[in-house]
Amino acid sequence: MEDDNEVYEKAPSSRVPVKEINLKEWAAVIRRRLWIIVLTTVLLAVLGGLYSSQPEVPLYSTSARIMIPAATPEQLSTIKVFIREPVVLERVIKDSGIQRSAGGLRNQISVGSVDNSIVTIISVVDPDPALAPQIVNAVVRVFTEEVSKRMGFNGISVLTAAVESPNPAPINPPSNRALIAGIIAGLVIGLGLALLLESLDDTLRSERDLERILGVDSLGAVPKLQRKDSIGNSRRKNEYVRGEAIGS
Amino acid sequence: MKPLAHREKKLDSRAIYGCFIVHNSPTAAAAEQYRRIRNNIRIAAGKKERISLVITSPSPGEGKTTSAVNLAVSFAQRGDKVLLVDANVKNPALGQVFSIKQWPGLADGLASNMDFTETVYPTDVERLSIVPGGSHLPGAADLLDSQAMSEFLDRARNEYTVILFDCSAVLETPDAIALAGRCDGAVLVVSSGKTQQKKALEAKRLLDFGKVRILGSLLNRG
Repeated sequence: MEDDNEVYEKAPSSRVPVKEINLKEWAAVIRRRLWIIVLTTVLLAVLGGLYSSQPEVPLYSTSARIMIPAATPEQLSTIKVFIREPVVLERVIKDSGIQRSAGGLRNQISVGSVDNSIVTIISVVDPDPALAPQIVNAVVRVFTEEVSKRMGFNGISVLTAAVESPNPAPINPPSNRALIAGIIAGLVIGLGLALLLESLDDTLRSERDLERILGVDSLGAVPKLQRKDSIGNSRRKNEYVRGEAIGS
Repeated sequence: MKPLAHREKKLDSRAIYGCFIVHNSPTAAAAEQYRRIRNNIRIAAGKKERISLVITSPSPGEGKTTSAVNLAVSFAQRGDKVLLVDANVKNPALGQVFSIKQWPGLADGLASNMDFTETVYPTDVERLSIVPGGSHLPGAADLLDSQAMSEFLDRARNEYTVILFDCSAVLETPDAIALAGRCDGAVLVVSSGKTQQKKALEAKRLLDFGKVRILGSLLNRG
């Protein structure tokens, strides 16, 4: 055998196997590698499920609406900037006695305007539903005073003050988004892995493979033995032993 | 080197059942395919009335014996007088498949002056006789490429119209190629999803070098 290998050197077959991918083949690949797709999907779904089942701190949001009748857009912008200035925030902390840093408070506060008008919304997000409106109202009060003191602008009026909701709803209700993301990611990764394994797999699978790669005529393909074919396995086998019961 | 110890192939009842699918379930899809392959072999072999074939595969365990038995039964059903020979002398399985003793068989027949007919066993399938692998004799593989083998083939060709050899794998031993050179050709059994392209191509290369005529391949999805 080994001698044959040494003596016999022949150029490899010029037939280059070409991977043609069509939908039918894809379906076959998915069917064949279903286990890996199912495995990655289940794995990532479990991870996503664990992530989304983690207890999260519920956050509550309240807001106040104020009117800033500024003369120019520049003035309006400058006044709005004041809302989140450390000067204002430090006074808020000092006055209300809450345990927050100026920087932390700054991140809790957001300022927006309604449809480019002079109506401005000041929102605060806080884990404590009772504290949030207090912070908002303190900010509005201090801010009005500071603007008046430093810019000499006195036209700010409160449209709606922040009030504590009787039954506050958190703005981040528990969601199963991570679970869904896990399932989708699992499907995608599983499909990718299946196709990767398929492209790495160089076993012969079809009569066409045999003719194309091996260059040998295919006489036929024998399908898998169906389970229904082997019903009454032992009885049938005995028929062989007994003789020509069926067949021929 | 593989140890020369006599390996007894263990076949479960399902595997043995699979060998007789053509006999026991003539309407099964697999049986239809074996009959189609039988006809294709006839076509590929040309107008020859008497044919002798080697059933082999690139690597062991790809379904040689199952294919050989089913093809033998298919030929017998068609009306051919069939002799199925277990040429896998190192690892014979036919005796177990047909529930007969493994010897005296081919190896004994070739090694001694035993009469040809003493190694041939009739089976319950009409027109099908088999020759089991025989005793495990040292150098049994060389017997397959001997003068005795030529005499055996001449005898068999006179009495049977179809002779099938259930051979060892091409990449395992040189027996299949040596034997196929004396026969009309070889049928290469390839297991779907199991046989690697590399191995199949290597087997094809060895068969081509041995000037073996490959009648065709049989894709085994079982």
